[in-house]
Amino acid sequence: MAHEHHESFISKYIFSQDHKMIARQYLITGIFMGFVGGFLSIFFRLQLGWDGIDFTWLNGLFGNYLSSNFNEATGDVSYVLAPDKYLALVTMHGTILVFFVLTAGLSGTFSNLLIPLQIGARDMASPFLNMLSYWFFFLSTVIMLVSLFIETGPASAGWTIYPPLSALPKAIPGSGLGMTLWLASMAIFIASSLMGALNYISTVLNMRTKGLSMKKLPLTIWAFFLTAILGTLSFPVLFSAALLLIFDRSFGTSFYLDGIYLADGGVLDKTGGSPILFQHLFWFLGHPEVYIILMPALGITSEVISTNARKPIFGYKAMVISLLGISVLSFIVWGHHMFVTGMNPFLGSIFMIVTLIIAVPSAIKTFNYLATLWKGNIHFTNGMMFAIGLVSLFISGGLTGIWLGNAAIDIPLHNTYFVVAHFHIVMGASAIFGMFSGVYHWFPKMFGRMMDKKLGYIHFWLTFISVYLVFFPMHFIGLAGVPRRYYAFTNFDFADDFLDLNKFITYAAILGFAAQFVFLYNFIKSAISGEKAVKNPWRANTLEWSTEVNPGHGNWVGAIPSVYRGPHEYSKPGVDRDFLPQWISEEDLNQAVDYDSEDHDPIKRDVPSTTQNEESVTE
Amino acid sequence: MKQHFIHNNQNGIDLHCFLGGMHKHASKNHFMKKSILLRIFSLFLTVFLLSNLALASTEHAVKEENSDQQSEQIQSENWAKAPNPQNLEEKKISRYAINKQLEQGQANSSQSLTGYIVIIAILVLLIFGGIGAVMKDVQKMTGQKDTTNYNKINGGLMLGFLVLMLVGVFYEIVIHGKYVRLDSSSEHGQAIDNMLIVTLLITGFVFLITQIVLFIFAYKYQYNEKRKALYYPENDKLEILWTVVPAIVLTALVLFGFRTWNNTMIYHENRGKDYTAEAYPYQVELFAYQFGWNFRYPGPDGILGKYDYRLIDPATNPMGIDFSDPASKDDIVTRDLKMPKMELSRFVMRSRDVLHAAHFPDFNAQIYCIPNTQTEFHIKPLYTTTEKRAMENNADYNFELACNQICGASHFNMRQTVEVLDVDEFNKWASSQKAAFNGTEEVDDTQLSMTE
Ligand code: HEM
Ligand SMILES: [Cu+2]
Ligand SMILES: [Cu+2]
Repeated sequence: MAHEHHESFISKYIFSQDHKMIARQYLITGIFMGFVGGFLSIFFRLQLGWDGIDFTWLNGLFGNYLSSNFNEATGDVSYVLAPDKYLALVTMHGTILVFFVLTAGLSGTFSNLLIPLQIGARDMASPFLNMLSYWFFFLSTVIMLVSLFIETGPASAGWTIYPPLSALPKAIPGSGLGMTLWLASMAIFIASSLMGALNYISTVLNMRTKGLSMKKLPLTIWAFFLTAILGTLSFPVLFSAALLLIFDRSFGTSFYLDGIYLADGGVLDKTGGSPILFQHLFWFLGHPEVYIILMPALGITSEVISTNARKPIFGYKAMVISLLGISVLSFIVWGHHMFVTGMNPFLGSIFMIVTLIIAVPSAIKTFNYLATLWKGNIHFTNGMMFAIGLVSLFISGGLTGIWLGNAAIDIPLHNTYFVVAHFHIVMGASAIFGMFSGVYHWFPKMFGRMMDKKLGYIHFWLTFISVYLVFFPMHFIGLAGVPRRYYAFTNFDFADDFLDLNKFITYAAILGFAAQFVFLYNFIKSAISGEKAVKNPWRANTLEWSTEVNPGHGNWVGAIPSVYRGPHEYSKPGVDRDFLPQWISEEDLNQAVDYDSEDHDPIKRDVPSTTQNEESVTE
Repeated sequence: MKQHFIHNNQNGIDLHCFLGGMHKHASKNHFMKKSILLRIFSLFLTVFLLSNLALASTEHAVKEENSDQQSEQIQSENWAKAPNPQNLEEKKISRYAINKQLEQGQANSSQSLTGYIVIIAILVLLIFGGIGAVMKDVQKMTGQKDTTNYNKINGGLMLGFLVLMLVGVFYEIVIHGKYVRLDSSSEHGQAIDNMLIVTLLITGFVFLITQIVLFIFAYKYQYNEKRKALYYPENDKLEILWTVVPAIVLTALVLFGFRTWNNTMIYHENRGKDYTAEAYPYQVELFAYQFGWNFRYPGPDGILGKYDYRLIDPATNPMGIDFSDPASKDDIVTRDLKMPKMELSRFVMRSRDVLHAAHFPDFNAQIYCIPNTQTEFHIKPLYTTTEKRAMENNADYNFELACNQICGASHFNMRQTVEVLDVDEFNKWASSQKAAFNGTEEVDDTQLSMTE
């Protein structure tokens, strides 16, 4: 594949089948959706901070979310957020962040970028399917975004879309056209995700380069691989659940509906269904889904930490086994989201045991991270900072999982702000940090340039601090019993203690959101005019750093390198460099090939302008 | 491939040359580096002191007020003990003392907000100021080249973050810890509280240890050119240790959890059996709808009669009671929720339309309300509303019932107060209620509007 082939603009940048271009497409779409989802959260946080705050300034674009208030005294009209549209915002925020940013944006970007590059393949097993996967994703994104602007508002039943609420437009306006679009979008999304996942699985299984046994796979690849398996096994179940819901909504069936009387419309002519059935189906995907989100982030940080601590990841085997354990267990713990649905307490006990068992592999991973840092020689690259941040957040959020996994404690805490704190820290923030870590670390591979590290540090510290400021206090709100998804805290004595805290959290959230613009600026500026990258800027061991700075379609100019060792041979005694790439043969070593010649300490590096001529090879 | 590898050597610059270049500035850098560190350190010190100051200012008043109640405060440490009736009196007192603080805290809430804003402002200053100042120094000493030691700066910041985090956690516990409900007003609720405290202590301990270790490692093992990292890929013993220890701790938690969970949900064993008035003298049916609650008491016969959602009529029969069932004829439909103290009330939950959840934060009780399906929960309240008001030192205190499953626009507004009465009073109230059945198989709706 070393030959040059001419590609038109469309086949290179739009309907590209090159996994690296598809990765960038996923990333940019993901970042865009991240800002949309983030904006929605600021929108509803403003309402929480200042109940009934005037949103007139948003009336142009988001008029469908506002209801007007006429002030008789002054004759002024003000616009406030309508209570049902608060739920619409929460729903779309959750959906966008969970599926579009942290599932597609994260897996889509890094599985696509790294699987072929790190296993030594020219491309995915099926580049065409891969391209389709992105464009299905794109289509579902467009539909979801369109639903934000329809008159009755987007889906409003929570990202978990529990029926009957999600099935009955008369119960909430968002369950009309908004919900239809949500379901359509998600169905397409699931198709996209399956195409991607099947591709990742077959690529990892079949296309590894010579010498790269499964035991030598970088942990990123292990994580992406297992994530893809989780996705293929669980997303179809959500698809079925959604399909049955579509039937209930549009074709007169009643899988989820029974015994309903509506204030507006009287007795509903549907019997025999069960809304709880939907929850079982939903969480059969839903729980694996949280690991679909988290595991790629863990994989990324494993590699980033090992590289930048200049140490082998501690307990490679245990890391893989924990990932395997988490994957298997995550299919049998879904009931912990349903402890208080009135399930048989014996069943609850079973779900409680398996849920707490899943904390063990999580603990192993944490301790192994700590052991990896121990006596390391840590380079605080931007990627490394976010990786360390992830470990901190993973600890904080994982520990509250132990509270919630205990069915007895879940009785008072279910659906309170404690749960909100738990999953935002352990999943939301952790996975976002994993994603940032990956972006900073592999930016040179994606764009051939370096990101500005100073801006990166500012971005990291502001984000890290604001994440804790936003979510840590929420534990206390939850422990006082305050339910999530409340438009205002003003109607309950036990909730209105937190009005001040809510303002504070909103301030912190705005700070955190503002910090993301530092990233955005850095990202765009660096992609266009950042300093040129060298081939192996972090002096890492994995195969992607053996390609040209800007690898062309086909990845390696010459033959595909073979692999001679595991991915984490950092600071190995007897080797005079503190890294030993996978692609350096013993023979090379004996001949003292200087694989470290073009580059110095990544942080202090004063980039020479001599590496440019490489680009001419590919472009 | 190899060829291509070697080829690249030409592009690199000589490592020795680079290091040599560094060497020239070494003596000058040495002094500057120290000043940078000093700056960072003093910044952190300031943050630490200021945040403590903010803390102190909010706490000041509380301390003054309560200096004479020290002894009672000590009793609050007894919370973790298993509940038993003799303990109750003590508990009340300690709860009372804490509530004094609570009140005080509320008065200070605006102050606590100021404290927060101060901290945030400092953080922002710290980040921009710290990094900015250092960068200025650096530019001064190097001309344009940025040879800042970012490893040192960020290592220091990691340590600083740890300090801030610990201060923050402490601050939170002081300011918002008081809202945490660790003295539930129901019997099973206290067992759950104990479970929660044990979990809090264990996870809190692990939290502190692991976060401290993480950030200290980050600080301590920051990059140093003279050092090489330790090649340490595995250690089976260590790994077994940190597999087995968490497993044991979790097993203990699971066992403890089983007991609490089963004791709370034990009534399920009676599921499907007839609920006789003898077995459950106090029963109440809770009926959730968009957006409110109705309740049904069984009346003198002690039995809740049949229902059918097709009979629902908001005006005449809001709960869809089937009055052809003799047991229904004396049932009471009301908007008041009352419970007898120290007696087990059996709650049967239903929903009229979408899912709701009956959430009683005071009693650590929660269960979904599902259309055409019954769920249930049993609550034994420990205090009457009047007693609770005295304990909280708040004449307006009410037990509350909230909806905790997203159910539509007014989900946030499904408030219901719950009144706990002494048994005698409760019985008196119950027997004074008129049956809903008015002979025409329709509810008397005047009663509904009266009691609202
Ligand atoms: C230590 C392991 C963990 C345990 C024992 C645990 C346990 C739980 C439990 C019991 C709940 C249900 C709480 C409730 O709704 O009442 C829950 C909620 C949740 N957890 Fe975890 N969790 C763990 C780790 C994680 C991880 C690693 C993630 C994500 C990567 C995660 C994501 C979530 C999410 C998203 C929810 C809330 C879903 C919703 O209701 O909207 N958890 N967790
Ligand atoms: Cu789960
Ligand atoms: Cu409700």
